[in-house]
Amino acid sequence: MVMVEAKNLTKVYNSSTVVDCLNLKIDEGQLYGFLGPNGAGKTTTILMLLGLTEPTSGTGFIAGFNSSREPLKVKRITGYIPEKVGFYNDLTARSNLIYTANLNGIRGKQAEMEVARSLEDVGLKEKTNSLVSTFSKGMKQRLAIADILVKRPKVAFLDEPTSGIDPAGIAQTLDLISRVAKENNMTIVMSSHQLSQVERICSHVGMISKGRLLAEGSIEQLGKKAGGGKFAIEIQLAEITQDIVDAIKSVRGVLNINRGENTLNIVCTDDLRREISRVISDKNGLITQMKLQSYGLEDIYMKVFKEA
Amino acid sequence: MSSFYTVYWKELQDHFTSWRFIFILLVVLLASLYAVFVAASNIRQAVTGSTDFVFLALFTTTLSSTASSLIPNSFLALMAVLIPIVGITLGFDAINSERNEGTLSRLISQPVYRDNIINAKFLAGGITISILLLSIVLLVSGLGIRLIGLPPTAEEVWRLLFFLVIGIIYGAFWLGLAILFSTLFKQVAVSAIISIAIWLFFAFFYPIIFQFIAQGMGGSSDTQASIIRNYQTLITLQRISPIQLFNESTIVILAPAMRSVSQMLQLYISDIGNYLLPTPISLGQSLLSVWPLLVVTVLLTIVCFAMAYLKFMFEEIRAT
Repeated sequence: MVMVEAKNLTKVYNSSTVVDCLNLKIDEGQLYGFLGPNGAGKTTTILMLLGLTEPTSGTGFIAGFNSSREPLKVKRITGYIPEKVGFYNDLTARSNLIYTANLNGIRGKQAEMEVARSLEDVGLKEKTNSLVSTFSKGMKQRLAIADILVKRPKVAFLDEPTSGIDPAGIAQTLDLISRVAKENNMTIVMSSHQLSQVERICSHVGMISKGRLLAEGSIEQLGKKAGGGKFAIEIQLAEITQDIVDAIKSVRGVLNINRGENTLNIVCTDDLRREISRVISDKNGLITQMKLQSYGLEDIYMKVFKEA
Repeated sequence: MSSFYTVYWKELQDHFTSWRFIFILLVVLLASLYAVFVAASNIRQAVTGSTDFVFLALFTTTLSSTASSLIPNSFLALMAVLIPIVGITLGFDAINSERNEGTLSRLISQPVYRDNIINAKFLAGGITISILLLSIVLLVSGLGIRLIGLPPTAEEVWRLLFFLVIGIIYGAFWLGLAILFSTLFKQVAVSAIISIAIWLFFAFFYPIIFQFIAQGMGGSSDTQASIIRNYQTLITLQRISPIQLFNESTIVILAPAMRSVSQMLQLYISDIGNYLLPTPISLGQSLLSVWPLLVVTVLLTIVCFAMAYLKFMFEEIRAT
């Protein structure tokens, strides 16, 4: 089921186009990384999908609800953590979340239960009755996650959820996000420009620049695409003989071999590591190291933005 | 509707537990107790002609005859200056502090109609002002009864109630003005300073400016027609100030012996004896004469709030 959909979303501010005819489909349960440089239009897209900003043209849908026509229905099933998330500092963590619960129509005992559950989920149970003003940035981010969990949303939009947090805190937050998403079967759209973070937890990514979606799909697919459908294998051998090179050349699917001093760089149409290692051992060669060069998110990103 | 009440209760709770509310309550309370205490000790000189409305004289008797006109010198005059401060205190950061704290974007991403937020904030402020004024009037009346040993008559109670209504509307105007600035300006300090500046202008500088104008015009007129014409222009000029609107309407309500207390009257009529009518006007007549002033104050409030409302409804809220 398509959970989040953008149809020709466009936003124009004072004649400058921030989001340009964006089309997007995100399936239920996906962890979707929304990538792009600063000012690419990530936040604006999220705001339009949430129904917080009116699109100049086009429509956003959340779980089939039109974001601009039925914003309340959308907001009921959507959690949003803005980039600079804030809480009422003079209230306790609990009171802040109770307020959110009440705003979502959850009241009384049920609100207390949901809040306690959410705080426990993010590991802030002991801080239930502490004032938010005593919280660190990382704790506030976890509280923000608890805040959206209170209403058990189907979709959550996280805008730069890791900005300004220390490395250990980032890892913690990301783990929390992916765990929470799995446990609650939540679709998560996470905007970021920290590629390594996105790669860690997201299965799918969309790359946006100047309001246009440049690439979209699962990281695996995009990696294949970035490699142009070819695989590169790097092998280190104790000793390279012409015999071995010829043997490898004869393997089906091998396109090219580059011979270095102790290394061979092989370009092939498939992942042929098994076949290649077999022919090498047949020729009594000794493999010291072998690896498939894969395209990471960073390579994909660089490639996509170079092309754009 | 339920989200409206949620925001409303939260705001009300915030007001009543905030230090600034406690502080402003104390200031208003001390000032008014002092005013009534002094008024009670001067009341023998103040109540000369009729002995009607002695209790109300507590609220209108001036503290000392030598005090400069710039310093509020009766309970009423104190209220004219302090109620705006209460309104401003409760409203100047209503929207922009939430925006700066980053709570506003979290708030509007909840299933809440946006107008519910600003309506609830305005109502919560208005109710807070009402509760504050009611308790002040009750406390002051209690002290007054102790001091002069005279309970208010039924009409006096009615008049005090109408005074309360006028005071609440007056406070709501300043609240609306402060909320308007809190939607217009991003910085809390700016909205606070501009609200205070407007209050200062009307409370202290406008009367001075006005006196200059009045003196200039009063001297040049010779025929009766031109005197009347000048008088009307001056009244209109004076009523630009919301503080004047409050002063005029409350004095008519609380001091039924006076028909009008326009400052320029004092310029024309030096003999204060002519100024007091032999018989006080009835409650109905008093209301009738303050009615237009009240309508104008309500209108000003609505204009302020409507502007704040529109600004808030159509602006984009993002947390960056």
